[in-house]
Amino acid sequence: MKLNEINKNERFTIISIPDGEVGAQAIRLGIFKNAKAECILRIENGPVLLNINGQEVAVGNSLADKIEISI
Amino acid sequence: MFNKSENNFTIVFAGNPNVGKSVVFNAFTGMYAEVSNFAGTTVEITAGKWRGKTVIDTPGVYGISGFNDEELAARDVIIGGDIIVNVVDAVHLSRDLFLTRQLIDMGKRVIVCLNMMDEAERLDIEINVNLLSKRLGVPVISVSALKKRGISALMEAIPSASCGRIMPSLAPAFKKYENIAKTQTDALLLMEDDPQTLKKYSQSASGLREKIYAERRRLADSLACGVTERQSKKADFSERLGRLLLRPVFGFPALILCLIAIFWFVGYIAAQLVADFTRGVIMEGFYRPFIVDIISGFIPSGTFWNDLFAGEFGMLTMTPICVLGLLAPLVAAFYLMLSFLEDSGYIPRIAVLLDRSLSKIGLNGRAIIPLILGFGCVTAATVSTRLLSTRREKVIATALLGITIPCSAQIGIIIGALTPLGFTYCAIYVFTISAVFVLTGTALNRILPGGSSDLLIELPRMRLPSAANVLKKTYSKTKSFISEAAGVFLIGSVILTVLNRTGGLDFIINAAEPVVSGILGLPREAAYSFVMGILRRDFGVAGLSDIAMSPKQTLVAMTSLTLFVPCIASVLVIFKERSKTEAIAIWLSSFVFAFLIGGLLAYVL
Repeated sequence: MKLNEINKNERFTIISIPDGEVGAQAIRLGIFKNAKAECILRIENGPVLLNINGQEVAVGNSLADKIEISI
Repeated sequence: MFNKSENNFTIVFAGNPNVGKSVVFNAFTGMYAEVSNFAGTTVEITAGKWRGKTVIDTPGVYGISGFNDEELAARDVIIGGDIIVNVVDAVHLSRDLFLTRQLIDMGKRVIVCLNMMDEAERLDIEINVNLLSKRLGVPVISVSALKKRGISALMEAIPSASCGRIMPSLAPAFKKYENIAKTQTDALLLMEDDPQTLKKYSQSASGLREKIYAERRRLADSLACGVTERQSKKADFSERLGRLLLRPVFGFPALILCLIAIFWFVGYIAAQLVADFTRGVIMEGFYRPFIVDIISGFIPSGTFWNDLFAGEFGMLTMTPICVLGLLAPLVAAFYLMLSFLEDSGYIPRIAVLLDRSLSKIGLNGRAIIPLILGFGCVTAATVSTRLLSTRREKVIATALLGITIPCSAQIGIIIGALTPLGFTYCAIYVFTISAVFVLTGTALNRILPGGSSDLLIELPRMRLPSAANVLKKTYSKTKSFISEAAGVFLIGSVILTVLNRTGGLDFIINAAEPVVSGILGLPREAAYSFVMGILRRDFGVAGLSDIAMSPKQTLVAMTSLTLFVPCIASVLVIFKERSKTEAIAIWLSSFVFAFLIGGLLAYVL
């Protein structure tokens, strides 16, 4: 499923992220293949707030739509 | 930039954003630090001296990959550094160690300053510093910069900075580039597909970047995990507050309260109370008569040269009086608020809150930064649009800034003029300007091809800012703003004096009068404000307070002037940042909107 389909308090594993610069920036923040994270907050049609390794990261809706995850 | 002599040993501070790097830096350099712009960008590099050595601070970055101006600047400064002090946040070790690993892989001499130890203690996080130091291969010193603990230990340990252990999987790749790259740093940059380095060595991209990053990320995570023990997992107040501010239900009211506080502080305290004193009492009361006397002692009054220096638009009268008497308190107040917000960690949360709304006008949450800056100074805000990723977003943000956002120079007078008129008039003003904002943004979003870029930001912990750091930031930003403004004002003085003496100014105003009174229904004297408003926004609105106008006329005047063309300084920056077509389109649109909307208001009310 896509990251923007996640619900609050659900934990998940990342399956794939987009290529290119956005992907590289995502890796630096901890979002990469096989990383585990938890959704802290979900704004409807808005950003997804994640907790990865104690780090809070906000991912915009359109980017979250391009990230594949599994629960 | 600054001169780096060959004997000058350079210590460079590097680290992620929000790790308290500047506080540690300040502990080394004290009050005397020089701020300069990196190679024609807006990125500020601060340099100072410590025990005879040059100490340079770099902007907070997540990595040295050249994804934006900050990273490019940081990278170049780091490459030239002899010792790198890597400031790391003990509470976010895993995130921060990515950069640490990259610095070590670059082959630089590194010493890690493990900051925020007091916060870590409060959160029951224990870090095995010796083990971390052993695994990295570089010295690690625990520090709590805000509490001033550990700084002297850090200073004593600087000479022991060493080249750490590089990531094992990189060894074969380094071997491959051994004969090609001149330094280990260059070799790493080549491996990571850095465009500039690839060009320098005429190499093609290896496509290894993502793999290297993913591995480095995993290594950083396992390093952090291996040395950290977190006893309790309870979310503390700071975390709860941070999350609360993100939920629209609490977040929006909080944001509105925040904006009201800013406008009150800048628009009332600074623009009215303080400015009345600095401009009215000190500058107009003492300074002007004083300087006019002195100049008239050398040059007869009434002549061109006397006018140029001490006349109404004189270089020694208008310029210092406006810049120091009016602008300085306003801009200082604005930057004080902004620095406080930045250091508290609130701004990324505003970006998240507004991301959904901003994407409807083609921007993402990060655009909130230039927009907020615009309320301080549209010129500075226009330059800051560089932080937006795509050209499309920069155009939209610049247009919105130029057409709708009132800068601090205007806000004070506008608030002063509209508040006595009562709530309804203020509401109509806010509504009209907001409507133009939304319509312009939506229209541009439809017209310009492409889409908005994605929001991807890290949310730092909410903290109570350090007063010293906020004041230092405010001082340095205000100082650079004032020096630039002074330049523009001096030129303005010359132009206006010449125009005034040749009758050119009267000619322009006479030509403008029918337009101003015909379309906007304002008294003919108001034309003066519009003409002056082309040069500086505050000239425009300031003159209006002396003209008798009905409430409806005041509203029309304030609305029109807000929408009217940006000041000369902004126009110059817009032309510099954008293409000629875009810049002219923005200028013309604001000209047209000012009269169109103003005229509409005059007709409807």
